[in-house]
Amino acid sequence: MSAQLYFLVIGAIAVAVPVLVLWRERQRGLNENLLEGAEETSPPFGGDPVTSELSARIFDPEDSEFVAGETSRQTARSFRRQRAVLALDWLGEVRKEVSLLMRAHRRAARDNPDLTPADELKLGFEFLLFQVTTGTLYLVIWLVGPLHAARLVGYSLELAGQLRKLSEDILPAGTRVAVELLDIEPQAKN
Amino acid sequence: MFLITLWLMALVFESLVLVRAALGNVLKYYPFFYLYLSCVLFRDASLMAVYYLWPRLYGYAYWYSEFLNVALGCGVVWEVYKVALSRYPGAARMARNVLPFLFVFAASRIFVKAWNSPNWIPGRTTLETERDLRIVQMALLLGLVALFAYYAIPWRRNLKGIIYGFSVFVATTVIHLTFGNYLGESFRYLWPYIQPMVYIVVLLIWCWTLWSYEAAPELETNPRLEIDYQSMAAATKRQLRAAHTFVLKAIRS
Repeated sequence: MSAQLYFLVIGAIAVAVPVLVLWRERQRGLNENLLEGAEETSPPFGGDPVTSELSARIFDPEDSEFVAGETSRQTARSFRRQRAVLALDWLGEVRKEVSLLMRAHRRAARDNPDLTPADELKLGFEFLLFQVTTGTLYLVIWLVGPLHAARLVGYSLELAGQLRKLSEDILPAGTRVAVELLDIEPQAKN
Repeated sequence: MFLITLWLMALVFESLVLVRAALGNVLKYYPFFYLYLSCVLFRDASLMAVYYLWPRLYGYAYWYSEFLNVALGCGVVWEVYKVALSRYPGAARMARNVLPFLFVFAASRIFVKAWNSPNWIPGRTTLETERDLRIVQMALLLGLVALFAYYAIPWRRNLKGIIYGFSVFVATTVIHLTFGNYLGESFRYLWPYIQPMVYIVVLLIWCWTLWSYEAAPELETNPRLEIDYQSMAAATKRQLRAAHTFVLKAIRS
């Protein structure tokens, strides 16, 4: 039995490695094509008010409340499901844009003799942080829907803000933790 | 009989890779790799003679020559780094900073053991010492491959073959030396057959990918190359943070 297991594991590895390599090569090819178009335009993060407004609308409870008040429970449930799909698509798009941005950066950095390893590592860490944050958000939206996710994010940021305030009160000025991402004021509703 | 056949097959394929390299003028592009393979061929042929003529000396001959091979294997990793990143100064700079750290990290185990051991060989057994050295090689190879993947460094067919083949060889050696003692009799019975078979596969990969020299593709002109690195990194960081804020703002609104 154990001998068969060894062969099974070895066989699985022998099959998995070429498949993974081929898949990666293919992905790389696809991404290179995407990148060609993406390099010409910079991602519209925050710069475009229309995009920001539309993005915020996905997570706004107003539409959902309206549908819930005016239609049947089944329609309201269907609406929430559609909103979750939309929110996941939106988040997926943002993640893709950022991946393309980082890819363009890496392609330029690899040729640049003035590259600073410390800066590259910091940038890599920020990218990882972004991926982890948005990955968690993706999971939360998938699990509880965009409206609850928005509430959850709101609570988390509020809590983090309070902790930061507390740390500012307790710690001396030189050792305060700078959390730039938490300096976000909620947008005014339309 | 089967093992002898595998041994002979290995000799034939090793010779074939070397002859093809000599005929195809590939030797000069990967000198360390071919030096390594020549040594392996010479060692395999000599060990076969020792095995039949002086069987009692086989163990010594095997282990001393094995350590020479491990040292030359490190040269192969260095050559992979040198050839693959020669046209990418930024990625090469990153590798020069990351790889020594990885080396120290992976080799620290050997140094700690050497410090605590009364013998000059750091491991308790030669098997253990070889495993530790192979783990260092594997860590360096993994670090390099991760770096190539991160910076999307294109691999030429020749280099791809060297990396795949050598990685498979080092990985199977580490598996053998690590799990050999834990997985019991059946594993010890099977492994002497599995490892030479894997090695034949490795040689086939080398035959296929190193049959002829593949010149490096033309470098694409990168419009962002003219930009100063610091401003480029700052711009990327700014956009990354903007994206982060954008997502949180949209959700929190």
